[in-house]
Amino acid sequence: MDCRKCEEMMYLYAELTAADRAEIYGHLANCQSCSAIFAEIRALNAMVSMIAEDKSMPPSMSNLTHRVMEDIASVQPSFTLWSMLWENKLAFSMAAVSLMLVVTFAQEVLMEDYHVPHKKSLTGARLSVSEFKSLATRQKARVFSWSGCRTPLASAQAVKDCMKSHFKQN
Amino acid sequence: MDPAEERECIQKAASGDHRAFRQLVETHRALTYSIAFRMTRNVAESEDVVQEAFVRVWKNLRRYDAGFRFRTWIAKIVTNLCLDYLKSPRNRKEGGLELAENIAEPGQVYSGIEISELRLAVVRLAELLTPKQKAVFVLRDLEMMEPEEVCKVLDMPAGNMKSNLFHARKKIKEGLEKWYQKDTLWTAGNVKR
Repeated sequence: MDCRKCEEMMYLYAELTAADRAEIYGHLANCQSCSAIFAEIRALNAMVSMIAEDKSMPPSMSNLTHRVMEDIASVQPSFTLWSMLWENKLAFSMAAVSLMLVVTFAQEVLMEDYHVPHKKSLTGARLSVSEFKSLATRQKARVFSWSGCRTPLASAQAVKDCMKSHFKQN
Repeated sequence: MDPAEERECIQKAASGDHRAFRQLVETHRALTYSIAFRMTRNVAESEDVVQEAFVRVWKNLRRYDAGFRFRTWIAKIVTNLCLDYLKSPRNRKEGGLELAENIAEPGQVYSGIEISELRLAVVRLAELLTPKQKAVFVLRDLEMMEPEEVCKVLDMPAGNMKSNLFHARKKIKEGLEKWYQKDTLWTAGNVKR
């Protein structure tokens, strides 16, 4: 280690690792000028520590607090979409799961008799014109039956049974 | 205030509880003022900075990241406000006006050093540092923060922080050597309280 590097490290003595400190001591054992600088730096650190103990305080602590409290009286903590989502994460997760279940259930009900051959991938699937027409007609019938079966007081099961009976008739 | 109590206060304050926020202000006002005063050397400006910092904290409490220490977070806000002040043209015009003038002239020799005098000398020399060097020096050497905390407060990599600290300490040392006789300065026990 040269003197320049050693000087830089001596100024940062408090921030060094044990290995770096050992390196410094190794250099100081053979260098008088660096040893003298090191003693000065340690004296400087001691002086600065003494200064650090004397903390500056505001003329009136309570007055400062009062000013802050007066300032915030008319302001509300800001409300962000992210903070709202984060704070209500449990509620939002439950809602998302419920929504997913409802969508899955609705899909099951609507797609019950809708047999599209799944042997091929969806992009590779090709329907003949007659197959397409037949599926489209059945879908149309399903939509009609759905609207016919829906009454305000009917339960989900009743609606489902009603739709099934329509399909059987068709 | 212990960490659990502080966390509870933060949660309450974030939902608009003024009493909880007052507790936070009372806990951290000394630290914030000390940083502000050491950076700006101006009582009125320090009070304004502290006030502004707490208002920002209040507004952004919901965004507070619990992974950060609250003390680090507020120190970061205050330091950034102080750096803005130090870089502002307003400060450049008025800078140093409040500094006491009765500091020793270069070359004057003292047999012993009074701590108040030394403080004044260090303060005067700190004015010669760049804003970043000054911030690192104030937080690390005067506020005695851990190096990792200083890096977090200043959003600075460790290498950068150390480089600023080295230059700051070196400038202060060289400055003090100009003000005082070298033998007197570095002799242990020469500083009197």
